[in-house]
Amino acid sequence: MRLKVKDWSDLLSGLLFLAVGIGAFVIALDYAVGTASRMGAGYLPRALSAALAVLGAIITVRALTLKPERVDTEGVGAIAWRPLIMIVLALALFGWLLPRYGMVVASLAVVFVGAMAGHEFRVIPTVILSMILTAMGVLIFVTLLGLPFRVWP
Amino acid sequence: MELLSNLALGFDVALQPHTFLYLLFGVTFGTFVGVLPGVGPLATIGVLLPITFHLPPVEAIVMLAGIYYGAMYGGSTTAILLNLPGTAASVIVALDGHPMAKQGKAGPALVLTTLVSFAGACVAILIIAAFAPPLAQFALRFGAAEYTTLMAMALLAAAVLVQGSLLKGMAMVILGLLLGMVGQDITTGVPRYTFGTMELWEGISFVVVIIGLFGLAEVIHNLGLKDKREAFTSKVPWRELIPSLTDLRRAAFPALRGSGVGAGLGILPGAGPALATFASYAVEKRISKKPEDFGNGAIEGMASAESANNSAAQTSFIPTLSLGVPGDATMALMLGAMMIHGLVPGPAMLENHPEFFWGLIASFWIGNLLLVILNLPLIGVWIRLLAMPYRWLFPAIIMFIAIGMYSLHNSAFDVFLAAGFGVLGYIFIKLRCEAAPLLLGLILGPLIEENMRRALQLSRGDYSIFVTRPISLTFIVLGLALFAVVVYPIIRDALQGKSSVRTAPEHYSE
Repeated sequence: MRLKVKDWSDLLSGLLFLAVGIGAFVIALDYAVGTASRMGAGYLPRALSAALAVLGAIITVRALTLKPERVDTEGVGAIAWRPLIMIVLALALFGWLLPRYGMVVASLAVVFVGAMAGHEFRVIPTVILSMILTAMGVLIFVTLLGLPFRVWP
Repeated sequence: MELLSNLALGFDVALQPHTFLYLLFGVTFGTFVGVLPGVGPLATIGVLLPITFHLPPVEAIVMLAGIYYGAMYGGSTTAILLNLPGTAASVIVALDGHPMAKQGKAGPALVLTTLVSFAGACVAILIIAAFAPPLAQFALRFGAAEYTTLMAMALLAAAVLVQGSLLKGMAMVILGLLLGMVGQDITTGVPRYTFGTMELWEGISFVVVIIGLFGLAEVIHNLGLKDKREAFTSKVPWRELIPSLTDLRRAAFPALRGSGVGAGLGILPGAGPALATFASYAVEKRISKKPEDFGNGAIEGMASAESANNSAAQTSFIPTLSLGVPGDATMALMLGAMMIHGLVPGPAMLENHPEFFWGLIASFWIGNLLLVILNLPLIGVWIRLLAMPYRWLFPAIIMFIAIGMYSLHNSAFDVFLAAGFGVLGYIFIKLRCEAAPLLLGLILGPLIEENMRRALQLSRGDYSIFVTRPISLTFIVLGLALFAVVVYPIIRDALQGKSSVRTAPEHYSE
């Protein structure tokens, strides 16, 4: 069965909202509701997550209701996998490296790996770029602003 | 007259050497950021916010504000020269500005936008100076119920006035509200949605969310687009920069009208510079004797749009400063920034820290003046800057983000969290969900809950308190009216069997 989808972005976001809403509601069941005059921790979370789930459901249904003119054949478009992965990786590396090996190593890594997210990436210019940016970073953040970062390994 | 003495106090504060320097840096850097496509003022302010922790409050906010309206100037430059709008508001400026550039009138177009922006700022500042104090006075009568409904209506406005789907906008607001509830509930002490992580007990920092949703997501999205940037090759010699007298005359009244529209719409929560710009352009086109010129280099259109843009940017500070309720994402950020620096906006601030309020207002005027003085000679620099390859720029952005996030709590967790929101933000871009309503929900969530609790406590659980108190009722009515106005066309079309699709237009960085 092929789903005739009016708008993929609506369908997917509707499902996202529905899922988050339900999830948040289930978690909120653990929190005491209290009463209107003494709202508990769970009062608003339950109400809001329920509302979110309802909205998600409505959006999903609308996305599937076919109107004669429009079937969405575009989908959401191409996903930028490489930038997505490289940037997340770069940041994760930075977070892991800084406390253990200092700012210089972490900065070099984040610039280098981050640059790999671009499709015009070339090794040598990037190495130079990371050295320059790292120097700038240390200068601005540690020397000028005095942030308490460990600089060297 | 009190207005004059207030302004005098303001100028006194704003002209202190230290403050002035930060202002100068702010507006210059802001223009730079605005010129560069793909980097928005919102994310920039977010990245620089941790750096400002070490600055005194006035300097910090003055600088951040300078970045904001400086970016408005910069965005127009790119819009005119390259038809690459930097912000949603610059789209309109590009509509007539870019054709002007192609007709060889880039110089006059740029100069005109600068002058017209300044005019817009002047009008806006007068309005702020006139209306903000009375508004703050009025707000002294607000109780918890009024704040609840006011904030709720602001959120409704943000959801409703969003570019794309109304339902999605509302869902994003609610998602933001839920995110705002992560952390330890102040009143009951219960940790909510913390999933056992200690770091989440303090909640999710809005700076992290902004950086992720508006900064990182933006970069990822840009890297995914493989278009070549059209280079602006023709040089703009000095002599040709000056607009002719005819140009000036044609721009004058539209600029004034634009300022007015911008100032008025900028005050409304939910409406921002983008909406003001669209509205002002539409008005100008309506009353023009030659509407067919619009879109082909009509000076009137560009002048009106640009002055509305800048004017709205200034007046959008009013609800934030006077009421403590931000009108859009950037204002929410400014509100957060002020609170971090210990300045709680609202009626109390005007009473206890008038020097901050008036100093800020004065800095707006000085800042705009600086922009005029700086930008005219610097236009050549900005043009050359646009040739800078993105591949040098974005790793620098990533690095600044990484360092900035780490410096928030000296913890790697915030870096990871920002990366996570970057992914989420990218998903939102792909799914055409607007992130700005989420941000507003995030920042206002705890505030709304606190006020709602207090209101219901006072009324002993009676919900009618929100409608029996007149001011509160007014807010509700206004909010519902706005909702009705926006929803009516959709319902009408649906009943007639037409599908009216509010598609989100192209994605623009905030």
